[in-house]
Amino acid sequence: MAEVTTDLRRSRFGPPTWQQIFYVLRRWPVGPIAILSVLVFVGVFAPLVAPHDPLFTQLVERNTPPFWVGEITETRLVSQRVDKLSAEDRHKISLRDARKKGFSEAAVGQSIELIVQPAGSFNHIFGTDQTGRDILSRAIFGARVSLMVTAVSLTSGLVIGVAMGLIAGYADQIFPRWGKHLDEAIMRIVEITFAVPTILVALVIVIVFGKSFIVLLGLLAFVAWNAFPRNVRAEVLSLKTTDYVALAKISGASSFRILFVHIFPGVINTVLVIATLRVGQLILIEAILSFLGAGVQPPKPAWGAMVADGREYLGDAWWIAFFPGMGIFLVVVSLNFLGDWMRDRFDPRLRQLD
Amino acid sequence: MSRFIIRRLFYMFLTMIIATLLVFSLSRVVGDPRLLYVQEGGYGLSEEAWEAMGVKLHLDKPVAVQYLYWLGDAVTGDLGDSMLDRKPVVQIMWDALGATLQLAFFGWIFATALGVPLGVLSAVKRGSVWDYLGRSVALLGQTLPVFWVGIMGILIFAVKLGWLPVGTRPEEFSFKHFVMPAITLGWFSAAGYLRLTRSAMLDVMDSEYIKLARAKGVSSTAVLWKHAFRNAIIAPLTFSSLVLAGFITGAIVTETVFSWPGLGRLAFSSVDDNDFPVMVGLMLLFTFMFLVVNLFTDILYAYVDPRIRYG
Repeated sequence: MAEVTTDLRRSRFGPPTWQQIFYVLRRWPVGPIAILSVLVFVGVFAPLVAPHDPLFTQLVERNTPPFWVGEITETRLVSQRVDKLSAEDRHKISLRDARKKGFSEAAVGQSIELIVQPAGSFNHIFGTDQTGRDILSRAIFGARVSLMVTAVSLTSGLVIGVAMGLIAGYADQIFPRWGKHLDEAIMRIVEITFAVPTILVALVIVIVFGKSFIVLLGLLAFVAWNAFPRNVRAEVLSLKTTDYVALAKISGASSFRILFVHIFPGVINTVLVIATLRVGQLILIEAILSFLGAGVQPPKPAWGAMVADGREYLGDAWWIAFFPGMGIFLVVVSLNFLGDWMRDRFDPRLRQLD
Repeated sequence: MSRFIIRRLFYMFLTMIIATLLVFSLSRVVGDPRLLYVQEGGYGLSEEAWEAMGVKLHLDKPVAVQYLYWLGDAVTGDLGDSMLDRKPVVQIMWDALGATLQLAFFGWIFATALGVPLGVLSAVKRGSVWDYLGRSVALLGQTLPVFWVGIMGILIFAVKLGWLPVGTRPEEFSFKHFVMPAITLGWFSAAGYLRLTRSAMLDVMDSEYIKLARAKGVSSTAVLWKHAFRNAIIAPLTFSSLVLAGFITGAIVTETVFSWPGLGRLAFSSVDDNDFPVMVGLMLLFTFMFLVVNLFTDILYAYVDPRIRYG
């Protein structure tokens, strides 16, 4: 009797079977990594990738729909010849009505087809906004801005937060006499920052310091840091009772050496997981701030601000608000999946839910 | 218990002091706060008026003393005047409070009504369609940007389908106007409730006393609702304080999207108008509400769960 391979993963030869492909897809976060790679790529190479200048306005092409949307026409009865209209009435013919088919030749009483909305084209894949700027290009440059903001703020927040956590957890060793109080103080501060409504603080700071990019970066760094101390501290507390730390101490290593050479590497997994989950929140907060007009300042494109622009043209041009929001959603979902996956793989102890 | 409450009240007080001190010193450190009101030597402002303003704001005294003055005013319910229309900040906030509370109430109802039952269902029927549905809702709640949900809601249900009104809250009560804002506001929290209920239910269903109840022949409905649910509901209950925190952020965004005349929109417009006194007042109010709700949930927690006794 022929040998039957029950485990599909083991059959290594030949082209991959569907089962193997599904297995890989389920086991590894392929989709999220792909989406995030695309984001990082277009963000970094935005000027090369973007088909148009994100700031170039072209009123003739304003509110062009995405490429798959056909033109919308409306049959109207001609009631008056355009050249017979008084100057005042001629003014009433809107820009959009002027996109007409044989309107000027039409006689009174004839029915003509007016193009209410032109068809989309591949020139502007996702259409254009209310001033004729290409949405795809703006979204790409918006990705660049988001990427920069989150990278800078997360890095600084991470450094501050992890340092705070390390110090809080190890304070009683570094400063035997008053370290406990330092620990207590740091953890209280972290608790207080959790009690203050983030967006509101952000708005206050924006008022006080003015709307600028640097302020936004500082703000988001401030938002980012408080996720780290609590978990890092807990990790340090358990690591410092291990034998290898005790041995390092016996062999005469200084507190700082123990903290950074022996304890810190043990914390890295936790930090990575929290950071990944935090990036998504940072992107959301940046988007909210930009939406409220307190974040990235126009004309610089930002996803949140683009949604805010589109809000006023919902009836005419849904695509202005739709695509940037979809971008935010996709990126945050991907980061969530990736973060969950990393948590399960690197630090299952952080698992609290599910 | 009373010692616990007193200690918590003390910390609450401390947090309020720190939060306001922070905002206050920010406004003083960055520059002359008069500049937030008007430019030096600006239109219609004489040298004397500028000085008078300085005296009125106690700028001639050290910062610590200035803060105490402000604190004294704040305690007596005077948070200054709005810069836009010169009305007392307290009155402006009071006028906007009703709209926000109504919205928050409906948002909370929506969040609970969607999150808790779906959480129970997805835990009990683990791995079923319901579980997938529940987990997708939880994921969407965490990842969809609130403002975008609101705007897409307007696009689909108001602009395209015409089922719901686009406009803001009318003078007389109309339920239709609450549907979209409440769902937008409650969406994020519904996901939170769902996740918590689900994980708490899973935990409880796995415990020994549930097995015992099943073994001694209690009907599965009774096991579910009398034994499991009543214990599992504790976690979502305490989550309510976080829901409120979410509502504060959510209210700013939701009310901006729907032009809702509440505190959130006030916060947004005060940023737009650089109206500093209103902003600080709102900050104080929001922090206070958050802390009070926190305290209440902790007390409620001890009341509902006899195992918890604060020392």
